[in-house]
Amino acid sequence: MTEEEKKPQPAAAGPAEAPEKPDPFAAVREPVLARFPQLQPDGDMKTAAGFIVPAQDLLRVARGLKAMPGVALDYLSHVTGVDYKDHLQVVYYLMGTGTGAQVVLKVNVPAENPEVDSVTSVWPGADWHEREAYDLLGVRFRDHPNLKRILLWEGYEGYPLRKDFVDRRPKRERQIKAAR
Amino acid sequence: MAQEQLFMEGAVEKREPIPENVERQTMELNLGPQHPSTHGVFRAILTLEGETVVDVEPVIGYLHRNHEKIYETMQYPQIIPMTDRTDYLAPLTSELAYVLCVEKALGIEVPERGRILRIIFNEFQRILSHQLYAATFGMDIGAFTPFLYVFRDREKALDLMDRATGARLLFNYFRIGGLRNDVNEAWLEDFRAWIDNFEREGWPEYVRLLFENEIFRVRTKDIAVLPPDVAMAYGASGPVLRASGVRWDLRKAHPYLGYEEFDFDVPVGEKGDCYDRCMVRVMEMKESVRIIRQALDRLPDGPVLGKVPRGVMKLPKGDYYQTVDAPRGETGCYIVSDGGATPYRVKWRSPAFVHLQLLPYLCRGTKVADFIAILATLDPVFGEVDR
Repeated sequence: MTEEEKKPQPAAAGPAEAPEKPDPFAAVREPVLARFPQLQPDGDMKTAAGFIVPAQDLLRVARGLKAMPGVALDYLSHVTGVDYKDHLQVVYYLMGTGTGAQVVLKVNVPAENPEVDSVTSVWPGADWHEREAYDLLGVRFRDHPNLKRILLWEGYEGYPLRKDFVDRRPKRERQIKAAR
Repeated sequence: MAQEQLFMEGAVEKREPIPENVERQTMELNLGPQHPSTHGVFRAILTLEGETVVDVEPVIGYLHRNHEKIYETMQYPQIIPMTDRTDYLAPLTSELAYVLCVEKALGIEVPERGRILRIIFNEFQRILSHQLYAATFGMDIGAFTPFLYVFRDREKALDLMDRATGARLLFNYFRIGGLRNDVNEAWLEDFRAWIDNFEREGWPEYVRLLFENEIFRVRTKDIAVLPPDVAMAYGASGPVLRASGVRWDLRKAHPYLGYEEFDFDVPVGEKGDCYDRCMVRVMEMKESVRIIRQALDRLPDGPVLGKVPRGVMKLPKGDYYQTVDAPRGETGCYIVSDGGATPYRVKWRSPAFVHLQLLPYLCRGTKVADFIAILATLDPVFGEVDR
């Protein structure tokens, strides 16, 4: 919003030193990549081992990671989505309560037809998270038991967390301006 | 089962079992969104067969403000007071999740005094939240007196918070890099006195009044048992998960703020019924007192706010996630930064949102009167459920 080009130095200092360090999550990343060669390591995720998963492989990878010894991702922290304008990204944050592993799975889906398999059959707790992602970002989850709006009401038009969302309320009721 | 022991033999009429060929009907009962016992604006559509709950459909969203969209329009330091408005009964824990996430991204060091004070305030917040939980839970199932005892102590605690932070409910106290202001010796002395008093008088009083009460036990024991595998599958965290016997605490599993230096236990329940979910929270208050005492003993002198880059704060491009063990469970803050002055996307992971998914599972087959008790043991705060 406020694009003051005064001090880019502190921001520039962060990513410059990142590539020099060895991968801090290699202990989790390497066995997972060996087991699922179709995954791409994701460099954007800085605080856990991130992977880009092809959309058609998601369920197989999810089941495999849940059962994989040494990783055993039995706890789904959250499911969310990010709108990158040209595509949407569905993010799964997973933890292994026994192993201490933290893994992020990211699935890129096209913005016009965002559809991905539901992981409710693997982690039933994904139910409401997926409904929230559907509600706010318009990602449709195949085979979800009850995919309908959760925070907003039925019949609401548009998906507020999309970047092209236009607030259609009367002007004086509007409090949130389009950020970008 | 246990209820029958309370009544004299023969006082409860024995009814003939209903014959198989009788037509059964269910009734829909709409509870909320303005019911006084639903801890905020929550609506549940109960399907009842007589008094037995057949199904529950939770309806949320009445307090939805779309925090996540609002964050996208704000600069990083401006977001801190917004995080207070998610879990408004434990605002400092929400702030902590957010500031730790930003500090992790920027690599900011917090001075030792600031770090220890954060632990003290975080655990103090946990005590206050669980204390209020005990009070409102008692009130939900008909015990009004403990509520008054809790508020006697809570009033003094809020005064302490007021003196330290300048606010009684939404503190806006943590900053990226430390705390807004230091506390003085007089405050620390009064705080010690409050903790002593809480441990010596307050805590045993709540336990005696509420948790050793026979009626309370009958209302909560063996009600809505949550097996550990179901709790894990549904992503339960915090006291709800620990009550089912899973010893998983983010302070131990993924330590932040230097919790690994402190000596404390993680209380777990045996069965995962309503009683265990209460007792785990009650025991956690004791552990928080232990942590606070250790922290007070090692509180050094020095600054409370570290060196923060000047100018508009910009996070390096990337995704960052930080979880903290909030009084209600795992509170997480997921920030996606594109290198700009405002976050590109923030996801707020709120524990009670996840726990409410368990309601249909927990309530099936119980009585209507237990529904309120079961909802209360999940301890939802609708500010963070709806965000």
